Amino acid sequence: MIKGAWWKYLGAALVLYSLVAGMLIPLGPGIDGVSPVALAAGERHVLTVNGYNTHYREGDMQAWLRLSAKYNLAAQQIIVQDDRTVQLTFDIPKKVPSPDTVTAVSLIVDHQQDGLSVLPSAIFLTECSPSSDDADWLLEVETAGPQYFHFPYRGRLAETIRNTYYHVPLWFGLMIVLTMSMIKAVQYLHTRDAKADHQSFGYASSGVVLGLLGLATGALWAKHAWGAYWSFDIKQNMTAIALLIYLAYFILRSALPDRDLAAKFSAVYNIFAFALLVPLLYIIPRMVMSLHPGAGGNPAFAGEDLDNTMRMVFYPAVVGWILLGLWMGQVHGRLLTIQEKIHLRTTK
Amino acid sequence: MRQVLSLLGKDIRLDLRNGSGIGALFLYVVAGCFIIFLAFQEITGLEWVVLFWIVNLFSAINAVLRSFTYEGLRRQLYYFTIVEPITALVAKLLYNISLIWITLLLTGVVLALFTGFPIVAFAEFVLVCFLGGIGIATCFTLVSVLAFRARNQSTLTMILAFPVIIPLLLPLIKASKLTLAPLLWIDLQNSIWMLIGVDFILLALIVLLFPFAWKE
Repeated sequence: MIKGAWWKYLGAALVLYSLVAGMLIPLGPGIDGVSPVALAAGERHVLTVNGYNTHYREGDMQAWLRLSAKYNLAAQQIIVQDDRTVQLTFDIPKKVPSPDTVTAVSLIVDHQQDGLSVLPSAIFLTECSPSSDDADWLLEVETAGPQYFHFPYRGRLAETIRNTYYHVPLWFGLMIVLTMSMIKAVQYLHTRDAKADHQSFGYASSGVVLGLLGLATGALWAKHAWGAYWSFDIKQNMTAIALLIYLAYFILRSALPDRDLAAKFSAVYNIFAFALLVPLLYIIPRMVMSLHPGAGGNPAFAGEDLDNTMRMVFYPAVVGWILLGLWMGQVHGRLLTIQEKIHLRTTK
Repeated sequence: MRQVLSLLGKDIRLDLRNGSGIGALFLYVVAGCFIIFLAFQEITGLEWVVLFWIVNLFSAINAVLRSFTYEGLRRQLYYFTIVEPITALVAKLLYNISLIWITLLLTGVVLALFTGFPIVAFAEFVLVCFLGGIGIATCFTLVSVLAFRARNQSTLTMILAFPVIIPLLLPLIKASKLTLAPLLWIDLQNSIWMLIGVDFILLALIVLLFPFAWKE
């Protein structure tokens, strides 16, 4: 297929890189929580803000409430209590340039050393009087960019955002490897070349391994994000079923006594299983409401799911796992070929 | 075409002559429904639907399996020499589909006798069963052809069949649940298209793959 073994080393290297970079690069600063959450307009309020990965004591900071791109309100007073807690005092004017009496605003903290952290829709301003008199809200804000290379902090996800580097590439790998398995099965049915059958088996087993790893990484993430390892979410269920179908493939192979028969029938079943895989994993979960990112009508990977720092680890990880999966499949296939040859030689 | 009809006729006559096939089917359905009746004295519509499909599934596997194992290997070889695989496939499929439809009807009637008939949107339910029957028959036919020559044939058929039938079963149950109440066509549309889609996939697969398996 591809000449030489360079792609195998590349695959292993990329996976290693994604493991190291994915785990070691720190997360950026973020805002963990704010209290109180509802503020009446026209009064002075003191907010207590908890940060994540912040060092408020070192360096200067500015903070403001953001109503929209144009309208921002700076904090009157900033009192740093410790590295992760700060108290902000805001004088909220009665007149708010928004059409409703209750408006949500975002809180933005810009720190000299840490960088920018945003908590969207953090605060609700109540008892606003909608007005077009917006003099109090016009504020020029200048932010320095991120101060160091980091992954974004996304609310509750926090550190588990790193799961994206392992969970998603495993599924990409699964699809490619199982497609290879199906192609080899079709090839076997056309040419009756036993090697194609062995390779089909090898790729199928590699695919199942990737699938199990994918389910495991998903379950670990789900424990943090959804509260339980297995919540019978539709995507989890469908994936488990798809893996069961492939496991039945292995049982079929071992249950048929004649080798040629086993190869032929398992090739047929492989194609059957693959044709079912696509609706199971991708079509049914999109139709049903689910907690999984990318369900209930949304595409699995919207434009906002990754930012450029994450892309630097994510794309290599995808390529790495695909290559690694193909390598594992190839090796397993070759192992089977050798075993068959030995078997033939010793039973002659 | 005539070959299909004659093969079909042969299968039907064989089954009628030897009562055990139809008898076994009847027994499965009645025993299953009776157990359900004993276990739950009153069942809600939702439970009725799910149990309906489960009893059907078990009876269907048994029925389809029987239709393959009934004739010996030598007889199958004879058929192989005289008809095209597609002809044999169509005949087998038609026979199994009719068998499954009969099973569905039987299960519906018997379950209704024991526990009542909570389906309100009757015509839609019939449509769902129609499509479901095609899907189940196709899926099980393919699986039993594959498992035909295995050592533990019936066990292997079960192992292969159950995970594979789930993507068909889910829209079936979803659609049947919808028919428990008077419904708008638009609610059901999604599930019906899904069922038609899965049926198509299964039919296409079996048409493509059967000739390979048949040669054995």
